[in-house]
Amino acid sequence: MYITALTARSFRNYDSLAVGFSPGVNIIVGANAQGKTNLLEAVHFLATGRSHRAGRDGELVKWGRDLAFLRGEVSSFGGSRSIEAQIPAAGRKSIKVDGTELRRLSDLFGIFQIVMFTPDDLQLIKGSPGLRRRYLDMQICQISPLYRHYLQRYNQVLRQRNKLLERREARSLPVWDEQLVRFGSAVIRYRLRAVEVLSPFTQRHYRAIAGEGEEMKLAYQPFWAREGEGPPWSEDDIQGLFREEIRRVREDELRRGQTLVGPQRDDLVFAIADRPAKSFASQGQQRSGVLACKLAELDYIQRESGEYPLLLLDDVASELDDERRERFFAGVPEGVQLLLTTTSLRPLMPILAHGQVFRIANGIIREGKGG
Amino acid sequence: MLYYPRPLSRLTEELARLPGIGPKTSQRLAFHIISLAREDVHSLAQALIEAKEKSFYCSRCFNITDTDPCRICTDHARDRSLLCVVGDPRDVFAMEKTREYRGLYHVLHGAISPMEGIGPDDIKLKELLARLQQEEFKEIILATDPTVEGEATAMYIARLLKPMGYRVSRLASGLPVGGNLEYVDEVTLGKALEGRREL
Repeated sequence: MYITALTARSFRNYDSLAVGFSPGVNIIVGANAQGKTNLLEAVHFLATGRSHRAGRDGELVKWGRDLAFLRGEVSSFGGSRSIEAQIPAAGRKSIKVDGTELRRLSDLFGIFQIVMFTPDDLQLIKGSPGLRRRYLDMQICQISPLYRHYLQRYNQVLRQRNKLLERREARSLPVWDEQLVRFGSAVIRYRLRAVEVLSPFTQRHYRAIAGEGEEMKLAYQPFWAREGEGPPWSEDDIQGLFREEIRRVREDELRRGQTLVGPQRDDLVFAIADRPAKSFASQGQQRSGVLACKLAELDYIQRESGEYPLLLLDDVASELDDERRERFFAGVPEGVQLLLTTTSLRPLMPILAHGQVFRIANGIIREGKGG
Repeated sequence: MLYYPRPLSRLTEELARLPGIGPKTSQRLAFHIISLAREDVHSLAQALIEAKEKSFYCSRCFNITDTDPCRICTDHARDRSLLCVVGDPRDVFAMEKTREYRGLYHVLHGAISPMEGIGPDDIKLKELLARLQQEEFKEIILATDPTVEGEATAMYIARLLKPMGYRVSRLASGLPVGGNLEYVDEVTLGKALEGRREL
């Protein structure tokens, strides 16, 4: 899967942009604050219908304009498609695929699959659990419409239930509990399965990056489980344990006015060399672990959808030492399209010498290595 | 809007306040209306006022009606042991179109939604319970929307009615009939697959 062309108007610092990409490696070079990340953000938006960093869509519209416009031409086994987004400074965005407006934004997911890697992801192993849940959700959402449905329903039930708890209204709580269990268990079941598929991929990549003799393992840890307590859990087990936990925390929930159980409290735990990575991994081990996870994401999407996604790397290469950088790029499978940003070409050149180079200055993009 | 005479722009603004009508459509409608014959416009205006003034809620089922009780509640050919509970008057019309259902209705006018501040007391639920005391239903069909809020409302009602000895049922969800599988959205098809039955 790859993007052949991108058009943007009044998007972030771009007045008007039209660029064609190579199906292989594309390197976007520029000093800071010239619009490198904005370019990846535009691609991310076309794939997911949202920005990976803006809190509000309006932030994406160039200052003083009413409407931002994006169009991407995307090519895959299934043929070429054109994705268009209109993002008003205020109001509802609209997204069209091959000229037809999507009824639901979530229908966009899965048409154009990506893996995004930003410096924030380097915290994946030691950072907050939310980062790790997002890592899983981003992959599963891109390949399973039913998962998106369950996750969206679950979040809606959670918001409603939290409102009720906030007001300490115990009376109609049970009818929300039932749906919390039903959708929450489905979310957990999908995530457990994803980790099962992902796990061997991360192990293989970790060995390739960190060297033989050191293992990294990952396990999905549902909210009821203690560290090390593992699957298999059947759907019935999950629902049963979920119900039990709800009963156990009822008083607490009413006192604190908040839902205290469910997959929004789950975690993905890593063990490196048989020790919990969150507390014991060295800086180097962590880095290698994160790189392995991002490479595994490519494999996961390929395995589930039949095609490799597009890999977006936002200034990550400069954060790595020479050896890890080299091993990371060696782990990117043949045929994966790469869009990466960097402030300096030099460290990349030995490994990505065949890449297409673009230079960005002040919202204007030019092709070529010179200058 | 500055370029238009005041009466025309006022009409455009009024129309644009209607649901589903954007600025372009409201402009088109306004231009169309002023191009109509005077009596056609009068008839339209009359229809608007009459619809508003002569429609109210049935005191039994809370459906929209122009007679009280409404025509469905007073239709003696209908099965009075069967009650279908819906969220909105439009759902009654949808059910009626099936020509399959011959029981009575109860319209809740909403669904439980804590985020919008709508609790069980804010929908026509007390009225439903009062009705159960007066009429003799055997089965209650909960046909609220298949949304999170509609589900919660159905479950809330079911928990009240079951201990009272009613047969309580919920509409099934599944594939639309008469279409090709390839046109069914993935979620519906995925859920149908999960809920598959052995033949």
